[in-house]
Amino acid sequence: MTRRAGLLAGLTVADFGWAVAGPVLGRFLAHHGADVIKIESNTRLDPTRMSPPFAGEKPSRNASGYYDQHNAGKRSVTINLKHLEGRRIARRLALWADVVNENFAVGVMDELGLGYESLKADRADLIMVSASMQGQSGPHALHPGLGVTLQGLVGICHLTGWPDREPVGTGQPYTDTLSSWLAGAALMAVLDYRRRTGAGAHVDFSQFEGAVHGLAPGLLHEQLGGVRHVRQGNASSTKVPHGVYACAGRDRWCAITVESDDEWRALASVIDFQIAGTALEQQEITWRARHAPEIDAAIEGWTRRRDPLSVQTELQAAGIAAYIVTTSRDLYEDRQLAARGHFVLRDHPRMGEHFYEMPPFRLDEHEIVVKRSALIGEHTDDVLSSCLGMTAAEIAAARETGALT
Amino acid sequence: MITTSFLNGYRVIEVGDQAGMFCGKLLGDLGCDVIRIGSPAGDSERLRRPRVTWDGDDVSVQWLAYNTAKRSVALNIERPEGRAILDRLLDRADLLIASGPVAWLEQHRLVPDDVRQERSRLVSVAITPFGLAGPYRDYKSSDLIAQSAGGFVYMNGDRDRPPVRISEPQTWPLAGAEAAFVALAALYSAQLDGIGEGIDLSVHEAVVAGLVSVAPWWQLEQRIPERSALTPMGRDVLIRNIWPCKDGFVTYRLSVGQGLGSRNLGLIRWMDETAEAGELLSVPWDYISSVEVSQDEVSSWQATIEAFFARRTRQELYDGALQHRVMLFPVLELSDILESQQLQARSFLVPFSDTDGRRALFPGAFFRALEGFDPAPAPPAIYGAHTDAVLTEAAGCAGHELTRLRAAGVIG
Repeated sequence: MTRRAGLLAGLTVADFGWAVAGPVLGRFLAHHGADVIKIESNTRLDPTRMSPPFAGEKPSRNASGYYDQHNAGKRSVTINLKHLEGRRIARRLALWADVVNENFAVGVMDELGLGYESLKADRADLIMVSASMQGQSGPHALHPGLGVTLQGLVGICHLTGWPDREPVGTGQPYTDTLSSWLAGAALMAVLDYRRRTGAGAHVDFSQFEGAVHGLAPGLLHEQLGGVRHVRQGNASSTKVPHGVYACAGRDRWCAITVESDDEWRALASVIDFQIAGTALEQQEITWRARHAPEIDAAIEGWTRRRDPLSVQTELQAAGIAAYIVTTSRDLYEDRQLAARGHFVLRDHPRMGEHFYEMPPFRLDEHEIVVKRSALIGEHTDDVLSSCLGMTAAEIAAARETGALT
Repeated sequence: MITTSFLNGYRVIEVGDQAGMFCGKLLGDLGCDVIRIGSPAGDSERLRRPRVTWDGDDVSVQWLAYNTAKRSVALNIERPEGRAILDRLLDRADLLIASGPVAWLEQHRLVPDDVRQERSRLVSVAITPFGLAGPYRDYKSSDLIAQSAGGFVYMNGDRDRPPVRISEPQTWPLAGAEAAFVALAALYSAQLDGIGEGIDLSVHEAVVAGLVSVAPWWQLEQRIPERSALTPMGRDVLIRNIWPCKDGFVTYRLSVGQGLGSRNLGLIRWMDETAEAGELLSVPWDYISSVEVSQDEVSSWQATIEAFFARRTRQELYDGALQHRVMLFPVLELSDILESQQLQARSFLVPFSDTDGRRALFPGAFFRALEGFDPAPAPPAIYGAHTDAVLTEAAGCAGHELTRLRAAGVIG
């Protein structure tokens, strides 16, 4: 079936995003056919441009897998924002685009002459989406941060790790992508609002606030139930067994969770769980909670002798929730991701042919667009001429002054 | 121009398990009329533990958190008459969110292929554990399973212990946020081209989509990034991200390289005020590559910073960070978050009271817009409170019909 053009085909985005949260929102828009123009500079690289892994392993601004993943599908222009003429050109792009996307520290866009109020003076229906750490207002608005450190503020560090140890937090800047989705949802609403009313808006999204939404159940439990939420390893306060169990092989694990007494009986049968003094029918949740260590030891005695995929397959066949603890390598071998066509091959002039990733949904009617990432500045001339109407001479003059580095 | 919301006028029907609730909430917060349908016998999601007392009932905290700003209808969609009413509601709806195991969605004819028959303008979102098709489509799942399957759990924890999840379910807010984004993109598009959409969202794939730097490693360098309480700088060199201080912990990331290294200068100048900066003063931070620095060097820098943090409390360090523009945050617990000055200044936490006067702070609007967006969040509805109103206005039911349906157990 030939699909229609993407849900956001024709939408233009001036993407000033840096690092993760801003750029990832740009990529999500590109998935739906938006023309996302990333504004970057060789004089002040997006930090992901020089972050590993690299295709070819040598650090190179056009071979970073980190950059490539989060900026797939965009066009790239280099504009030196420290340069007056560069800022003028950037401003023209911001006014031309349907949407301006940024996640700088509060105040940076203003300093660049690209603040919302300033742009709005020249374009009344401007839409800007700003995903800052803590929002555009408030006593801590100017406080800079990174996703990997923000997790301290939002409670995630405290809630990750083992009860008998220091908090360990997550190895991933988890709040970054959550923020991109949330800011994206807000942007979609504002786009429709402009369609209906002609009015623009400045989406002021706080990554702190977005993450707190994901902890709302715990916040309510603290207030209404007086329960202090702490890190529990992989345990659950309501389900037993519930954990990650060692399997055969180096650092190989399988996660297993049991929702009901029926599922426990099925699991107990598979692993041939033996305990003196209590019949299987009596091993309901409160009994299991008292015997969690013995249960976990018995499960691990069984899983240790098996590879994780066998554990997963056998337990799921018995109606028990189980899955390998997936590694980077496992992603490429995952049968379900393969069936969904999660990884798609695209060619790249510096990185060669390699896999890009689909978003987590499939659409019946409209296409999803997955394209390679751009070389830095690859589309500067195209964009300046076709979007801003600059002549070749004007572009050359701008380049001569250093505005397009 | 003041407006109450951005999406006034759109109607959303929501049915199913926890995987769809946060999506519906976001749409409700944006002004959609979100109608969550549950059985007259009760919605099993309200029973999910942990539970607290609210509106005289013993109800799931997750339910309370993720069902603000919705109307609640008690309708038995397994009865033919109930299904007929649902069909009438869908005829007048812009968007359907249906979540749960594939078999349940298929049995109840809630997959996009079913509901979009003769409703080409409808946007139908199916949120399932692993997707509508594929070898694992009927696999059982949970938060820990989804986080493990999606590649997230492997990245967290101490090397000498199993990989570990965040001890609060994050799968549902993440999948909900992703669903809200694509649902609204489809809703926007439908207004332009008149064609809705069928959306098959996999919670498993949603977790994968939330990863920041995992998949490229194996593909490009045949390396498997591993967990550590410490953070990798470059490839193999490790440094703390979480640092003990006098009364708790803070997060701080020591960075190197162009555009990042100079960010350390705020901390170093601050440390130098009390002559505690040591060798950090002479390191050319912007010119070192993260893949070329040595573990010995980094460990030495770390020790200098550890000593500085150890002498100060969380509050002293955060105050100093705000003053010196240092990317440091305190490690807060949930109770600390409730007292955040920043959240208070933005009126982010909103007090709701139940009918017995029990009060709690709920997260409010998930964004601000300077055009006068007034989120006016609404508390979680009393279960089934809107059955009559919704069936009258959106399904064309007359008063006597409601009486009969109630007596027959089709509605609650």
